[in-house]
Amino acid sequence: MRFKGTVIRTSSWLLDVLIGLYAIGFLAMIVMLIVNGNAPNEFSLILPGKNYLSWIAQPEVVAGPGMEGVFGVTDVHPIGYRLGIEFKDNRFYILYIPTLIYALIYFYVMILLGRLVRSAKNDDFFNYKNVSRLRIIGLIILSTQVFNWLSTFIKGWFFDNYLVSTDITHTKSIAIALPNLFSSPVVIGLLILIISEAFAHGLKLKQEQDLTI
Amino acid sequence: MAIIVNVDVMLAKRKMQSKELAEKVGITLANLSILKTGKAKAIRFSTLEAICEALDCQPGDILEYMPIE
Repeated sequence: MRFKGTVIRTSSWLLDVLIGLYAIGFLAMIVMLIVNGNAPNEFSLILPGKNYLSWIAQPEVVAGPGMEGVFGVTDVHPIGYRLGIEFKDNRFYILYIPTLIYALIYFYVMILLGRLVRSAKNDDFFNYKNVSRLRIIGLIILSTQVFNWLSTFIKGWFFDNYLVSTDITHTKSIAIALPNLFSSPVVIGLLILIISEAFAHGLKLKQEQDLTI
Repeated sequence: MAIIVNVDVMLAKRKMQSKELAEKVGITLANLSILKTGKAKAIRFSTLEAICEALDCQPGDILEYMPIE
């Protein structure tokens, strides 16, 4: 019980701090964007190395002394390229919209997590509000992966249509590297959804138990 | 629900108050109210036994099946 109390208190405190910091950062961004009018008009376009290849300026890497007979380096190429893109007109404001939406969603998830922890703190964890909170969090996490795929597609489309490079080639690779099981948003989202369903079932059982006289 | 709980009828017949029955059976007034209003999902045999003992009746006097049309 003591351990549970410590975990809940620490989580609650950390979430409150994170929400506070995030709110300050978010407000600062809005102020910078609207009031000041000095929003940076330079954006980074990150091209993942598995889809974009360049054979220019490759660093030379060879096996170290004494290791020549053990292994050899066959291929060296960067795992990604960061292009700084500066917009010359005001259209760059459009690019802030997805960032703002993402920030709002992130903020909402933090608030939901905070409410979950608070309900655990008040020993009122099993209620239908928490079930829907868990469902929303699971679905949002799943959707982040969809946004991720979408952004990769948009980056490729932007690169193919609006940028010209003789040094970097878009290979249009569809190879999907196996993601780390526990850091993949799909797995985490599905896990949270399953937990929320288990929660809903537990809640139903609890209600039946409560209504057994 | 197709099962009707007739505890209030038996209470009236025995001229007993809900509070007294709750005390005799060993349940709270709130739980007795849940039972009387038909919100209860289930009833333990031990509770049924205690109610029958307190009201000097049979389970059939308390519970009735009425099909939903």
